[in-house]
Amino acid sequence: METALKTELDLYRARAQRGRLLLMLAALVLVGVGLLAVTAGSTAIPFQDILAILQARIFAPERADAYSAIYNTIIWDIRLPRVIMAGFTGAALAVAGAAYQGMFRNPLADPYLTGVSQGAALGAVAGFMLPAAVPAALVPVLAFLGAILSVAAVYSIARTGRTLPVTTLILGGVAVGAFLASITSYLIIISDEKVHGIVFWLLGTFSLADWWRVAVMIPYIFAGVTVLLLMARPLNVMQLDEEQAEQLGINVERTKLIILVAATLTTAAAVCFCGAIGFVGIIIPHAVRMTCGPDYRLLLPMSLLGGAAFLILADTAARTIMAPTEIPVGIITAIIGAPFFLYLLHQKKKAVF
Amino acid sequence: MSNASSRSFIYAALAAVLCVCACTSSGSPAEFRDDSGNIITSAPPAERIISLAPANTEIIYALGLQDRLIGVTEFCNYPPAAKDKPKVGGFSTVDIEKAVALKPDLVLAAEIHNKSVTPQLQKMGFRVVSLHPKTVQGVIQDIALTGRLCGADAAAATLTADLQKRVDAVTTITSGLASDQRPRTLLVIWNDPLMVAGKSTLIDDIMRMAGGTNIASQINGFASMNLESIISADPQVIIVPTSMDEKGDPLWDFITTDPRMSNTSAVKNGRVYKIEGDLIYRHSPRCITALEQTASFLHPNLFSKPGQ
Repeated sequence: METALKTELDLYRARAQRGRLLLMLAALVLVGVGLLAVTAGSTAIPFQDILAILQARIFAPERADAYSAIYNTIIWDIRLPRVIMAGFTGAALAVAGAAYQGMFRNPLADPYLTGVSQGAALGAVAGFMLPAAVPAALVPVLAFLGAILSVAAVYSIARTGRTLPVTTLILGGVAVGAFLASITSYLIIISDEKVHGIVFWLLGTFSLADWWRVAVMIPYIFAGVTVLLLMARPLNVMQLDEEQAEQLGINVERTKLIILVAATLTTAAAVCFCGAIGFVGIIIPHAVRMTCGPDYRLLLPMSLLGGAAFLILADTAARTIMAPTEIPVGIITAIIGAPFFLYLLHQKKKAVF
Repeated sequence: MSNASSRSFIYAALAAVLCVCACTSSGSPAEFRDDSGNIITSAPPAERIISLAPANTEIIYALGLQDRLIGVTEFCNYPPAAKDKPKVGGFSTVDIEKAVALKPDLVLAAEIHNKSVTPQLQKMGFRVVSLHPKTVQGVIQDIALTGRLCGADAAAATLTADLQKRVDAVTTITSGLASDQRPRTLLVIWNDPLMVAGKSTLIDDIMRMAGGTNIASQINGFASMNLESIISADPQVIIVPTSMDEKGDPLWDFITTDPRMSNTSAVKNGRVYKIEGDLIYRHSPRCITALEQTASFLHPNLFSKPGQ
């Protein structure tokens, strides 16, 4: 009896040990990917110059003047904020996707199914339509409002009594999403002038990345992702059954609401600066589940690191493949993401849910 | 390699000769083609014209044929009188039913209509001619073509001769410039995302004729360009088209105030210029004004600033 317990405990410890190792490995990979992305670009800059500029900028800004102003600008003001923005966006979309899937206990749940992306997109496109006197900085705020309002609408439609059944939530999300998307399409059709910007925006791009945008987006994503990471244990319990989770002392409805608000905040903050980038929120959590298992204490942080690395790589491809012109990063995530997802499905055909 | 290139040169020369033959033998107009490659068949002079592009409307007015213009787009704002003409829709969104009801005998379309509107109207038996020249010479040829379609060859000849004279006045000065005397130039059309005018655009041709070098010449058409690529190409002159009815100007603000753009020679030396968007985007007679203005931006010492 005692030995059996001991083996259980050993197994548990071994799993936790393996999880920590995986996380460390993923963090290393992310740092490597980030460095690689900063060295890649349409302008060829020697690797040691890049390292020296980064080092000087971080530790001794006055020494950076030794390098050409153009190199300094390209590395520090163009590539680095862009890589950081792609990383945060990827992390946000992947963690939010994993949380939505866990909360709805539905492998298809992602920001699209709950109307969040459509709401954010409508808010942003409406921002484009407003008179030019409205500052461009207002567009992301409108995207955020759109996302929050659409999820609130879906939530109130789907709510029956004191519970929030999964089926009505997803049906409501699909309906509201389709409604909002049709308004967005209408706005795009009636605007002849600014169509280019909108189309590019709806497909997603990081071409606008700068330190100001990074500074505005990070607090939202940091707050949202932190809350979601703290929800890992309740999410694990909720995978059993909502009734069992209640019996185990979890306030299921309140937990769902916290996750919903945090995931929406995270998604809208990500979407509003770089457009609706698809596939990250559904591919990364599934890939992590297939390789690391369904424990949310590992799944959420691994999705964070994996999503960041994936989107940094995708954006690096978007800005270098056809340089000096750019491809919307949403096209890259779909082109790389879909076959990768199919491959994973083929490798592990057993149920992961 | 050299064999292949000399052969392609011969083909090109042959094609040019054939082209000249086609143009001079005006007895058989069946050999004329418009900018989309549609064969233009002979017909009596057009009396009921619909213009599906602001530039086409401007051409009709410049030829003095406005009385025959029975339909325009909502974007046809020049000359101001064009705003009072019946509308057949937006630029890309054409109300086919309305166009058909007006019973035109000539529809002047543009490139944007190639896939849907043009074939649809052609199938119904309407005469559609598509105008979307990518060079200044192409604009002049299209004005001549429009004149011919309307039986207004004399008016067209007067107009094109005048325009050609103005073009020549610019190119006689700029054609002698060495490549290092041609400033690296960029025309930015939008800031989020950054989009520029690349090769195979009328703007690219205007830039070259005005004595500049387009730094976006690796890009085809109107497309996005990396901020990084722009900064490392270091434009000496940046041209920013403006829309006259827009109050704010986020594009101008981005180019002149973004700290990253301040590294470019153009911003450092205060050589960022505004040009009226309608002048440089449209293949209308007014694009010659855009050429003259661009030349004065690029070579202020060689050209005085022309009036609007």
